[in-house]
Amino acid sequence: MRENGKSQISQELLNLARAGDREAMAALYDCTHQEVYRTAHALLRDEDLVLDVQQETYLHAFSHLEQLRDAGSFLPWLRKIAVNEARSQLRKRTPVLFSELNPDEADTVPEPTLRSEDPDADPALHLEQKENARLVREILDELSDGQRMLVAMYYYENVPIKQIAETLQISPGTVKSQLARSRRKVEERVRKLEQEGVKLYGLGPIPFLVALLRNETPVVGAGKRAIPSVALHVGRTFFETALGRVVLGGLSVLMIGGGFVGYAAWKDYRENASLTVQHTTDPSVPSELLFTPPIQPELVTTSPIDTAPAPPDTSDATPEDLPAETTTEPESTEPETTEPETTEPETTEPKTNEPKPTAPTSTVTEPTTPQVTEPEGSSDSEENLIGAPPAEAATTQSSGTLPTEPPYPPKPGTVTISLGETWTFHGTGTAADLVFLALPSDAPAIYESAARVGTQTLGAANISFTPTEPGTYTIYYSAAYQILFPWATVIVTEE
Amino acid sequence: MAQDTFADLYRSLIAYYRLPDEQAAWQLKQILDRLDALHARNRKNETGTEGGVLH
Repeated sequence: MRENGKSQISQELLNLARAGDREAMAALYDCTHQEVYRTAHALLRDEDLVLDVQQETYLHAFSHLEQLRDAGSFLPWLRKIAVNEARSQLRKRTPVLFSELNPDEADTVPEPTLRSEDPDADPALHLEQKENARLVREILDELSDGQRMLVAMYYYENVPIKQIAETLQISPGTVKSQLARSRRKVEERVRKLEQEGVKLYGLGPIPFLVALLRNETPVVGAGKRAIPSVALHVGRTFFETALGRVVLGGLSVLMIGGGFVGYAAWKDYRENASLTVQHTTDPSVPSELLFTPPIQPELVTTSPIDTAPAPPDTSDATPEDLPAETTTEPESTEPETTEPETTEPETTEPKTNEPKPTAPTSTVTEPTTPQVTEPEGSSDSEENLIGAPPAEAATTQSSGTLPTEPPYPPKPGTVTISLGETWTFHGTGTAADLVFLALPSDAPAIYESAARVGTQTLGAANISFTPTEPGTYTIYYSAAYQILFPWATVIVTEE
Repeated sequence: MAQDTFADLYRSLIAYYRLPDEQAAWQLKQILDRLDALHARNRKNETGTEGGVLH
């Protein structure tokens, strides 16, 4: 259907409609119905009322076409009728807040849709649209009915203040003051959204809203440039879509106190929804936010690895060999905020779990680890929960069973590979979902890659990490999209 | 927030709403049906007053 086609309304078409031609009326409707619908929506909150107003508007208009002489005035005339009908409806009925609408009922009414051609094509997009609808309702709910009408007329219909005053039978001064008050209300609400937007997307309110309303992904591309060549590939469950639409969204990491802990949350993990990341410096992260034990960790290296997982000083990759940015700074490999006591990657390898180069197919049973239940201690315990590290041989396989407390996955420690090689590991677990992120240890504040592993009940996937640039990378994991923890360090040498 | 920005924002919010085509077609049918009924009633009233068989 055509929209906003006021320029298409010819005098001839108007004359035909005036003569009772139903096709001409339908054509007039096609040209204008979206505008009338939006006008009514600018004034009213309840969808049923909006539709009623729309019907009444056209019924009145088509019944009184003889009053209209100029075809070019048809749309403004319709709007005026719609405004009057809306006012009439408001007088007759108690307004219903958007937020008071029953969600089930809201689904049954003709739901406003974005301008997307096929909103169902992308489940994540569909979810975003639903969220957008909620945000819009929240914003518009901030205004009273009278304010909505004023704002709609002034900002949406561009009706002069004097004309608004005449229409609403109030003084121009009242119109101005009410407009100012309305703006403040919306502004306050938008600022609140900004705070939420920062948490969710790291965006300002208006770009955030506009991007959402325009059905765009926020800040797409920001992350790509920041970390151009890091990639995680996770079998069939690799979260490519999320990469494209989410992580690129500039999920800023707050660098506070020399380290950071990431919070990750998927908007809807069942679908390929957006990944949202929050950050905190609080090291006392409740373990229940992590994996749900028991976890059956298993690490499999399927590609040659230069050296056994060992401290950098014993690996082939010496600092001299590494590019400048591939330093093995303690902070870069193990953020202090998560593991304050362990400041050196080398020393973070628990002695009891020190990865020993194992023969192919050897299995390493997880040794008993110190049980630490305190938040701070959990970091220590994480250190000790080293699973089977990657070993030299391509077929080396190690596995171990983690203690149920705390529910951390095994840590492979530091792995050194050459550029062009692939580090592959296999993870299973009962966690709802596992998320793995890879980013340079000297990372900028952007997550480039994300991977989702598994399903709601069982996570399992082969994950391969194929860096395309040398450097030191930290692999973070998360479960149930809650918290990101440094999990492994991968040193990528030039060779 | 500049006024233009506010206006843009508000218009963006309002522009968010779009009546689905199916619903729009249904609305049109309702309107035309009601219009027909209205005209029929008007004709009937006119007939009643003009044609005038008063009981």
